[in-house]
Amino acid sequence: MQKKAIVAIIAVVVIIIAGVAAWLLMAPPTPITPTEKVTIRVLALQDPFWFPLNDLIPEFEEKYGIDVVFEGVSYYEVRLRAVSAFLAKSPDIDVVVVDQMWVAEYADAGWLLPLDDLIKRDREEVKPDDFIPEIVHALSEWRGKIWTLPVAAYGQLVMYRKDVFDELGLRHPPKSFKEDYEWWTWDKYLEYVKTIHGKTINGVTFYGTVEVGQQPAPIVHKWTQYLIGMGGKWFERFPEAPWNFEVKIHEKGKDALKLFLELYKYSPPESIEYFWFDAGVRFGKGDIGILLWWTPYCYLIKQPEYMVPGVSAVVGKYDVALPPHPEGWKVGDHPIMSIGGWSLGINPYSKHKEEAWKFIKWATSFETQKKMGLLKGDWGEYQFSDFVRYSLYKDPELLEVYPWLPTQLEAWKVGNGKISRPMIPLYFTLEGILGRYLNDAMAGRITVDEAFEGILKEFNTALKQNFYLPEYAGPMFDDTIEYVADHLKKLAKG
Amino acid sequence: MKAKLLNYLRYIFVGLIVAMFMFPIVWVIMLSLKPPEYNFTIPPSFIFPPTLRHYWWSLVDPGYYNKHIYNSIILSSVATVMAIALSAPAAYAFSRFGFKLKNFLMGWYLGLYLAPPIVFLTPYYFIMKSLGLIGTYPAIWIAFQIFSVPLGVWLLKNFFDEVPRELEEAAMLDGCGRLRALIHIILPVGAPGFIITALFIFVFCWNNLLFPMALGGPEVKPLTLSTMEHFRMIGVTWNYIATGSVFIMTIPAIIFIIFRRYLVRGLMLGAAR
Amino acid sequence: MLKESKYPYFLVLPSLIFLILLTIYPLFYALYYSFHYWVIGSPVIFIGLDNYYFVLTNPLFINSLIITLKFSGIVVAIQLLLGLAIALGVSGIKRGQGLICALLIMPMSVAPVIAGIIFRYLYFKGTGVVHYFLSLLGIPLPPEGILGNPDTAFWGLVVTDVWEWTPFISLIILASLLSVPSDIVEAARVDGASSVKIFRHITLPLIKPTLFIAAMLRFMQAYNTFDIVYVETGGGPGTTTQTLSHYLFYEGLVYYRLGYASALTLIIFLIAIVVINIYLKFTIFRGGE
Repeated sequence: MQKKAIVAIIAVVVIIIAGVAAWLLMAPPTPITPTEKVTIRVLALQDPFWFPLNDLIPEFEEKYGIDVVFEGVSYYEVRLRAVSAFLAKSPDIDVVVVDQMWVAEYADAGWLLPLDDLIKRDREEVKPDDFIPEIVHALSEWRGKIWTLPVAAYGQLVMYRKDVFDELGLRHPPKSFKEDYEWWTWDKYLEYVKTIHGKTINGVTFYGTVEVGQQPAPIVHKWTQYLIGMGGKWFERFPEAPWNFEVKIHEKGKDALKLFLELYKYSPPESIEYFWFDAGVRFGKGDIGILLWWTPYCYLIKQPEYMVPGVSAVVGKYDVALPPHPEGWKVGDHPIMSIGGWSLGINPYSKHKEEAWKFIKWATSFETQKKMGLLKGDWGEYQFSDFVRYSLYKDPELLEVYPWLPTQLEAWKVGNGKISRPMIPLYFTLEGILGRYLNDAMAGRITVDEAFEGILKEFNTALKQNFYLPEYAGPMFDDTIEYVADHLKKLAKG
Repeated sequence: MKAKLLNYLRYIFVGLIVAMFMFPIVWVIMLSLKPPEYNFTIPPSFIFPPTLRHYWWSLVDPGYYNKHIYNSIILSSVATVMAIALSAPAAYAFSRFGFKLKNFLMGWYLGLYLAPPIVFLTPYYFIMKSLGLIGTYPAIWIAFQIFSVPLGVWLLKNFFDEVPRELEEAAMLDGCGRLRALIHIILPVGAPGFIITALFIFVFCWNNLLFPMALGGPEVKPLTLSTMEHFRMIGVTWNYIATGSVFIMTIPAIIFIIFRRYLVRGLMLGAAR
Repeated sequence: MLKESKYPYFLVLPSLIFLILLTIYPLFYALYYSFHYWVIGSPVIFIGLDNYYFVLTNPLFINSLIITLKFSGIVVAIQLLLGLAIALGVSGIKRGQGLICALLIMPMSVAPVIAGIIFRYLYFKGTGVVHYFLSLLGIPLPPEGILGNPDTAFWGLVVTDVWEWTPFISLIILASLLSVPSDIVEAARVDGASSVKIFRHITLPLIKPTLFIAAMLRFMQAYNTFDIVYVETGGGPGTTTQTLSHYLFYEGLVYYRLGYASALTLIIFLIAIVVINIYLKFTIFRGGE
């Protein structure tokens, strides 16, 4: 009886081995075709640009004969997979989408291919001087080189209920610096928020504004807009050379935080836990008077749900205006707007760098971006106006669908992404510190002064432990918008 | 009679418990059927015109979740089979033998369960990269073992412990070899234990998020990842999260309902003694 | 006992080899980098035990340790007691037990991340069902919402975890309840013992081992709670719900302070082992397994 069992087991093992061998032998040999079709992998995330771009991928594949695996994953997954791939020197990802503050990290670590030569070589196609310098400065340039091409740029603008303003007799905020804009100060902004708050119009009781309190990132994005809007900065001197990371964030930071806390009083109390999108969704609900927030929300609030077709409660009832500024400020004084967004970079370990470059050129080109702006899909319609090129702001078809484009265009001039959120590798740690204290202050657990005491202490510890203080240990670069504008022009000339 | 009242209370209590625990699940199912305008009403809407369009989007056009459902099933089932194959012999050894390193090994197996999963992500990436397995099923099957095997060993050992030693000792006294005793005597009696262990391991693999995130690629993405992707920084599509959640809940639930006899029988194992 | 001294080792070998291969490299990787300074874009610099010093003196670490231990202890206690109550209730039900078991297993089969998202949706102020019903019942709720208030956010997470795992625990306890030999119970009942006495003196001692193991397994899981914190509160408000795992996630995968995170990982692991060992000694002395 025991022999039978042994025989049975042996038979099974033999069959398994035979099966595996057959499968291996019969697998089709790898075809050696003369023209191998290249597949490139793009690792992106599902910010608004992703949806129309995803719909247009077949056009790219058709035109260039390159297959594209266009992934849209979650924020931390983009970072995790990109960093893992880079650490392992893997060619698995060809194009990676880069958030504004990752560029410095990746560039310093040698994880992005510098694009200057490629831009110069293909300048006819790329048209580098068509890119808005402030955007390139904020999203793509580090230590004088261009590492990525921006694909979606975010500023911060004021979205307001024009019907409510009319009802209450409030003056519409300026849409252009050519208008009378001196009156649109932070004090005025706060005054308007207070005026709207609590009023009932057409059966809806309004909150003045809606804040964003989730930490670490959302609250810091909101608050740094107030910081830069008041002329504040994080460090003594950055990004202009010589870099000096003495912490100066408290100087205007306290005022920014005081304003933030005031505004929170006139905002739904639950906004202390709001993520980015919560504020937009709330505005779209229809009980918020004013929202100063990232520009994608200018179009996102038209649909009640993210990337699902529908009409929100505020369609046709809101307008977009410039951000407020400190008393006595004039254009050219100091930047007052935060800049963020996404750009596309090439993995230096990729085996298909040329094809990856083709993709990046295509995705950031005038034609593609215009199509993205006008596209309708199963995700809705007209859900992309984060344009990075001058030419797109002048296109009549786009202007018709996104009437705030002229305002957005003018706002870039007064924006600076590296001052509102310094693109240093230590950014995330500092953001985490800020987020905690700001959130605590918002919850009323600490005072403004206590918050900044803590912030300063922890900032200094972190900066010291990471060799930024007392003297920055690495090479510096005089990083100005003028330099970037110049650089782009030079590349355009060849 | 006091007993009848007690019984009544018992039924009410259990009924309430089941209702409370089922409620979020029912609510999510409702969310998956709601038109988006009803997602955030004040007060929350229990009555609404249901729509299948979210399921249409999920399963048909563009059939977004189809591949992910398939992936989840493949990832979890094969990993479970691997885990059982690896842990059963060890569990048997721990149950039936006393040997020198026994306590140390058992403690070590258990300790692995304690390790924060994050510590494994980057090193495993390197390992899988050098094996050329990034973005493939085997990478995740292997990674899943790090928590499945300890769990399997502990659960199976407990189930083996409940099978009286006398059974196989008697068989061996009758002239059976140990292996035969194992196959013919232990397995049938311990089958419910195996099934329950397999079910639990399956569910833990099914619910896992971090390993597929770190080691996977688009071709092997499971449901947990793809559902969570709708919870973005810049916007959330709740209805699609709801349909994804329903799929995540349904398939293990179906398996549990199919095997519920074993669930109860496994639980009844001791009483049948 | 049958003595074949080499046999058990062969049985254990396959899983052992597998696990060793899967743990050796991560262990050495973490150990190596825990002694170095390394962030993205920086060179790898040896700094000895500095990372460990930074971790242990970091108030964030202490805070997350306290919160994690508090959270784990509370949820395990609630799940044991509630699970026991449910198991006792279900054990007396003759019909439909299988169906009830199948239903009760469902919360566990919802991935923790998804459970977190679901509960976030349920807690929303005004539009969330939980918030709405609690306010209908007249329970005072903080204006910032359940997850926005530092006192209630913690309990919001506790409820989520309790929802997810209590049924599972109750089924495990139910299993051991059903394995209590019914003849002993019958004999005691015939002798006139009350249900409470039976429970205390007969049932409870018999199911104690299971209770201890269930508590231990659950504690180990709860200790590593990450998913629900990530989705529901982001560690906030402030740092009132930041668990060790969440803190580690940020240091390791967001800030990519790899040296610091490696030391942190090892410290978290060591603390867990110490706690479990204490627990095991405690339960062994008390007559557990």
